[in-house]
Amino acid sequence: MISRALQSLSGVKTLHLILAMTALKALLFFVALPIFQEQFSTMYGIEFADNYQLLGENLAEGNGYKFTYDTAPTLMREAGYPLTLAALFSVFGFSLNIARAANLLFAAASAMFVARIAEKASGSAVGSKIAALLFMVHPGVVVAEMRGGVESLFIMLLMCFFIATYRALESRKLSDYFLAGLVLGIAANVRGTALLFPSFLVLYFFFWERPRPSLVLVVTRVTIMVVGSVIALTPWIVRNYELVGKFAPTASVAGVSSHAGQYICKHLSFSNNLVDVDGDAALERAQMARDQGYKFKEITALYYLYFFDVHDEVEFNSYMGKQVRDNYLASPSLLFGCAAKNAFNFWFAGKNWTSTAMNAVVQLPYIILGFAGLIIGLRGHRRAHVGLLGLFILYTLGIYLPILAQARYSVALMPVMSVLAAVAIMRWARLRDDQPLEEAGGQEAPRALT
Amino acid sequence: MIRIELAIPAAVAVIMAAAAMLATHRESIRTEFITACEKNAAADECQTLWWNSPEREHWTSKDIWACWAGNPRTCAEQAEAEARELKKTAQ
Repeated sequence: MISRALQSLSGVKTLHLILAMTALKALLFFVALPIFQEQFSTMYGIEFADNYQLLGENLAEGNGYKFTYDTAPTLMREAGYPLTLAALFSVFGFSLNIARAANLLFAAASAMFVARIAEKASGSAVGSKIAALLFMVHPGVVVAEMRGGVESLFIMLLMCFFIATYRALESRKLSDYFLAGLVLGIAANVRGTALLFPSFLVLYFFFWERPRPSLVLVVTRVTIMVVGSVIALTPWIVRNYELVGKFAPTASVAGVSSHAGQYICKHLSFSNNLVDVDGDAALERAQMARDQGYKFKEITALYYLYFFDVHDEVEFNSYMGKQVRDNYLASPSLLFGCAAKNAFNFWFAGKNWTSTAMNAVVQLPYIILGFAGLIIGLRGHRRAHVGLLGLFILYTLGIYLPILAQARYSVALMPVMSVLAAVAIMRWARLRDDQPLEEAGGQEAPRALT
Repeated sequence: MIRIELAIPAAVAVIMAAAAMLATHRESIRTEFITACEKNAAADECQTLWWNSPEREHWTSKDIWACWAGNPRTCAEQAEAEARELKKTAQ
């Protein structure tokens, strides 16, 4: 029966499926959501997130890259999403709905890319549609689209990077590695977390490229990718250097995030909620900043400190990072304990325990199917395709676990999990459509996803 | 053939660059205004009104832009209206 249901998908065009889903979401966002917004927002953030809108608005109005008109320019957020918001606000005026509409477009484009990746990873046209569908209906992805946040744009650019990387892996041309690096750099302008992923490609070359490339070739490819990324990031790097005289390719927020992560790790229990503990961590940071003599804008919501001098912002971030490092060095078991808790938080932690339980219900099927798909894929003939996705999961966990993790950070992995889940579903249903799954022997190198 | 995975990031980069250029342009106009303000009594008065307004955080930049465009009356009227509103709320 399941096979039949899946087979019925083969008659539907991927584009039509994505357009229909996007239309449904538009109805949800612009018709249903205004009615339920108040109740829903206690569980999930569906307004503008992380104050990106302040940066976008100030940019659009000529106040500079600042959170408020009277504080210093900031390095706390990468400029890509605020600039995109500034462009939207300049044309359409300040509005959350315009950010949501843009997110719908970004998600639709992402779904097309997810389908293309899944077609190669599962070897099945039906598998590609399942992956696109799984991605589009994932509640975390839907909430991210409702919110004026960075995720949707980042995911779209990340998918572009994956497809560009698959092409480079297939063609083995250095020019394709350079182009993939450029795309990664543009994605890193939006969110810097993926920037170091090229280093993980070394593992890909070792495990899955045959004949195995020489060390010189591996280093050349990775270096060329990094050069591409740095070129795309140059305006941001130069701007930051002119401001603070330091090389800062990503947002200067790691120290503050580490503090939030360590504080949450120490204080979160079943008798309180993450959102409150996170708020307490912010109050502690504000007090530490006062104690250190830093001048910042005293406002009611002190989650992010808006400094009057950009040097203070960077110094305070380094100071926080050092405090956290010192604590971990004094008690290494704390680091392992926090990383273990973050492994849970990354997939499940919500604002409160109710939303955490709801997240678990939603995420577990994706996690189980995703990791099953990863194992199945790595044993099959498409292990090179699947291996790249597995490396990205590993890399992302490596970035977040030592610092800070919440379920919303795992949203960027959902396209990857959807592809892998589709691999598992296709194997489980033993469905074969127009492209047979792994019938032939031997390992297949990634083919360009065109 | 267009490679869509490259075309989309390129389009995003162009939008970001355009927004950055526009923001820089507007920021330079603002700087010019502030410089001009110092030499112009009316604009200076307008800016002072804005600065002293207890509700200045809630002023949109459009209000300020109206002053910058050389219409200090708009600024003064806005400040007075806010002061009246505040007084009413306090009562």
